[in-house]
Amino acid sequence: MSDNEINNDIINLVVARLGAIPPNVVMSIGDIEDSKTLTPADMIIEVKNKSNIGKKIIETQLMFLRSLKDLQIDPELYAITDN
Amino acid sequence: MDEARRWGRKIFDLDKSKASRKKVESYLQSQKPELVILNGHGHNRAIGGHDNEEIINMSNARILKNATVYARACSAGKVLGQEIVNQGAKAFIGYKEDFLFFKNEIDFKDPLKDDYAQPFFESSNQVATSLLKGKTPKEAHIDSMKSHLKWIEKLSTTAAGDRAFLIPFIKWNACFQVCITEKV
Repeated sequence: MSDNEINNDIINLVVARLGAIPPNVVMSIGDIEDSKTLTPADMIIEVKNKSNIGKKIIETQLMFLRSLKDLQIDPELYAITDN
Repeated sequence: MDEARRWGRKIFDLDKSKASRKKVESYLQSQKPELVILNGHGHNRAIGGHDNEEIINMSNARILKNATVYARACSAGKVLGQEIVNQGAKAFIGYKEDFLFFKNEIDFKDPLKDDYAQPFFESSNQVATSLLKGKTPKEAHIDSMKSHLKWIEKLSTTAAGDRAFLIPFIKWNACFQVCITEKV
């Protein structure tokens, strides 16, 4: 994901979502050359800095949010019974 | 490891300092295991062992010939996985992107007993569990996908407590888990 594609709206959205993570929880991410353990506050800094790890965090959120539009609704579940 | 013992499998456990390139190559060449499970850091052309020394990379992928390989290592599925199969492995299951997970910072011991790590490790461990039960690589991969989906569904309910934030990250690991098999 290029820096141009990451605007402030996206950053603000992701930062808001990261705010739901409990402060005692940490994330482990990164490859052989750049692995990190991040607190929620660290994650927010990485996102705001658009670092490689920050971009990955953004991508996880956007990928999930985009997938919501593909949810299929089974019409059977919404059958209307006329009495 | 427990699962392997439960199924009566002969195990070679190269843990910590034994996970050096020299020892790993020696074991693989002499023992020729059917199933190789790797857990370490990685990138798209290598899997790391002790002290992040590259134990498997593009230059020695052939030592996994005839094995089924599961690698819980970041990004190894992007390039290295295909090379491992090209060099004669039966199959490679791994990840095309970073494998990420969460854990309780304060009291982390066993990932399967940690509320935040459990979804990630139970779902990824399912690959190894299914392979040890004799399932094919594709079946093991699908079993793992089902486990990811089960966790996503579970964490989508009110029973999730404060763990609903894990869903996008579980989905990430699932979306980038790949199963590459030899041409038959």
